[in-house]
Amino acid sequence: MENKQDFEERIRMELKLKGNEVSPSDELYSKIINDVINNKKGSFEMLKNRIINIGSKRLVAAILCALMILSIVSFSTSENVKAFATETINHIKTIFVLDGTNTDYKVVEKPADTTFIWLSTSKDTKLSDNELTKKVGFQVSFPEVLCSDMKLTDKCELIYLNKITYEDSQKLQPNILKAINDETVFNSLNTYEPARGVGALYTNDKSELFISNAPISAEIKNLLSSSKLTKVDLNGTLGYWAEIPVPSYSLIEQNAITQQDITKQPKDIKTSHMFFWSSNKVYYTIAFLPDKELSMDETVAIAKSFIDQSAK
Amino acid sequence: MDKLDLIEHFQLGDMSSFSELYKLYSRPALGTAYLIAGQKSLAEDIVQESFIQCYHSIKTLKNIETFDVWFYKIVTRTGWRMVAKNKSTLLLDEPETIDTLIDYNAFAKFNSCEEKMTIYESLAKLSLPLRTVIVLYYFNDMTIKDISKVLGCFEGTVKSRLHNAKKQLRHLIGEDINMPVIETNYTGKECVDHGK
Repeated sequence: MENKQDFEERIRMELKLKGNEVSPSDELYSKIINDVINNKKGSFEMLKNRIINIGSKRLVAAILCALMILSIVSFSTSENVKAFATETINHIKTIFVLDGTNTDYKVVEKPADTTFIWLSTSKDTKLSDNELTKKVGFQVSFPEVLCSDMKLTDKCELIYLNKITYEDSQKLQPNILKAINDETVFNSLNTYEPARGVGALYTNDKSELFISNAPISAEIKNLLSSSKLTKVDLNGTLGYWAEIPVPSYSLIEQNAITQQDITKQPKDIKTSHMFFWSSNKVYYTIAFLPDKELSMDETVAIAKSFIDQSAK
Repeated sequence: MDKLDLIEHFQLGDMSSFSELYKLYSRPALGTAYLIAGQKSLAEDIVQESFIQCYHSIKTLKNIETFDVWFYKIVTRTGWRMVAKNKSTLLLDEPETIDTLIDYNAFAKFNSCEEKMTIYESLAKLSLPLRTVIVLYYFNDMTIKDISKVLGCFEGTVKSRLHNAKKQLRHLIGEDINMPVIETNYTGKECVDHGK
């Protein structure tokens, strides 16, 4: 019979060997995250835009400005939920969002843990158009030059979460960024209805604009259909010139991520313009940096140039 | 960022810290659960449930230095609960899934063929409290004191369980064949929850 020490060593060794044979499956973390998220309270039917950006300052500024434009949405909260919101609003952190349509809107204060926002997160990318096409699942083509002098300067990848509360968005921020390059993490965000998109910054002496492509979602449709629109023919494709109110939130930087601070009342609401069209279930939007707006006709020319060259 | 920083950040709601803690603890937790439950699929369920509970209760942890004890308390309790719950289901309703029980059915083979069992195989023959003490002590390298905190028992109880467990293991693996096996049936009555 082996002595006490040898026997103990044998137990230790065999158990270490057996216990280390198993390793967590790839899906385990996603399951955990999904569970903690699904079991959270909150059933509000409200949408709001929120943007997180990482990348070069210029690109970040462009994307923030461009995406902030997609901020007007309408509430569809039930009366019961509204009552609950009024009750709890004094006890929990709140956010300030636009409520209403393009013609009739105001900034309202809403609970941060039950109010759904529409979140987009971006990161600059060096991937080619072909690589981006494979990654996002729809055709990506950013011409180097539009209308002879509007040059491509930066590209980025985007993650859209169509249904997430502000509170969850804060907790999940690092994961959302990771999701850009990690399909497993991306899938773990399923509860929030995630979608991939791409964007590019174009500049010339007169203007700086941001073109983004994203799969059509109900949220985007709601956003755009509630705006003041002018229809434009793009050689057979219908385009829209939209006038949109944009709340001027202050920008903050947390963990090297630039983002709007929607927990504070926006300074004011500005009117901005954007242009959009859809093709093959993808929405294309053109938005401008502040004070760099083009006229509707100039923007239509850019869109036509983009469509022509992308089709080649 | 070290472990304590991660725990602190996680308490403040930082999900990336939770993710890092998962990376640090998921593998040893799975090993622990696997040795206690004897099935990989069940072990994954135990770990999943434990991390979910950890996520929801992290703010109740007052001293972050006791995270290990606190976390393994969750793992063992969840393990015991799920083992008890799944035992009958797996055996009665899903006999086809018993392949995952192979290891713990090995003792039957031992009984019938008089073959020697490995330490791991004989572990299944032990009662859950004895098995758990062996796993925490030899696999997780925990001290008697920490195990007593994890299980909510007196240190003396842990020592006695460890002693009995080793005795039974010796018997089961075919050494010390004449030694009578001391049956220890867990009643749960002697446990004191230090957390309450």
